[in-house]
Amino acid sequence: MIILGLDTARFMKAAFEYCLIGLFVVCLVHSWFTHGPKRTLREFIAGFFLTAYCESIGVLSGAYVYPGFHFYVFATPVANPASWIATIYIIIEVTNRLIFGRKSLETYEANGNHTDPQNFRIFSGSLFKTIVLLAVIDSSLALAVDIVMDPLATIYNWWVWVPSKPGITSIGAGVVDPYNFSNLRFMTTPPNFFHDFFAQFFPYGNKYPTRILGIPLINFIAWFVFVFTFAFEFRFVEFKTHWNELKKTVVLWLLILIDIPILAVVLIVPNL
Amino acid sequence: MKNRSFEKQPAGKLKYFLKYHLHIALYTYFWFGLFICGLAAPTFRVAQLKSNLISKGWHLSLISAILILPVPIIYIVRMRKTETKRP
Repeated sequence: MIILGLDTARFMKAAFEYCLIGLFVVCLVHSWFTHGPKRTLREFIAGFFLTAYCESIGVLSGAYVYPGFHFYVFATPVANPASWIATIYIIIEVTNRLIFGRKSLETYEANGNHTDPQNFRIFSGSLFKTIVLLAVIDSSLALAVDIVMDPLATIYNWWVWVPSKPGITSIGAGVVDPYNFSNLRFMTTPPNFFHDFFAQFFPYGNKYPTRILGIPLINFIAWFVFVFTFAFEFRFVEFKTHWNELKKTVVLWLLILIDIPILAVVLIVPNL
Repeated sequence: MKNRSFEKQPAGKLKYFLKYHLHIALYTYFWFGLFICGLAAPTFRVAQLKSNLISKGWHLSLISAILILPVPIIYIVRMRKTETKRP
């Protein structure tokens, strides 16, 4: 479609990358000035590298590719982990407002909560249940976005899923149609250890046969689990007001290091 | 006690909005981007989805309005209904 001499498909592909990097910068700056540098670095570094590693393993396993972007970290465009953590930053605060209303604004001071977390328990006395519920709402809001974004990703070549065909376990030549970009990077799954490792779980190909709106069901499950895990851990750490900033940071980053291999295996292997 | 009078000034209101409500503005902006992407989606690419539910780009725009747009609306209602005291 051409509007005012502009090819919208090419525009949407390029705008996706640059707008998402811009979104990351805006959220980072906002968090820096409202929550302080310590919490900001803790949250953004944890989310960025959790996504960068897990998404890269997903790419290398042959599940999907991110073709034709300009800036990459590992096998994933920078825009991907950057926008993921920016989106989670947005969604966590939106959830807080939806659940607690204006009361949630009282938590808004540099470097964590200055308000007693007891005031923010939904279930009387159970911090655990409260965090679980908040993380479920975070994941649901994120899932609502992803249900629309993933089909659009296929349409605009933001990322492209492996075809569900016999014998096919990775993305080969000819799968990606570069109709709206000219930078031909990451068009196919490169030969690598992760592909060989995960291929044994798909001996007949036919990867991820159950598709919703043209997208594998496992993608939506993975997205929900992924957001839930991070939101739960981040909220858990931030609710520990008696911990100092260093302890919060070390605990969160250690949890992320544990999450990466577990999430990668648990979310890539099921052939739903 | 903090001086709240700055919030009554236009610049103060903007600062207040950016500090406390930027998230929902960005969330709505994100939705709007997806909505436009749906409207502008080329039909031959929508066909690649091989979905019975989605055969035109605007179908995705409609789904985005159903799934995502209620959030900012609920947000506004929630903010107006809870006490007006500012931190």
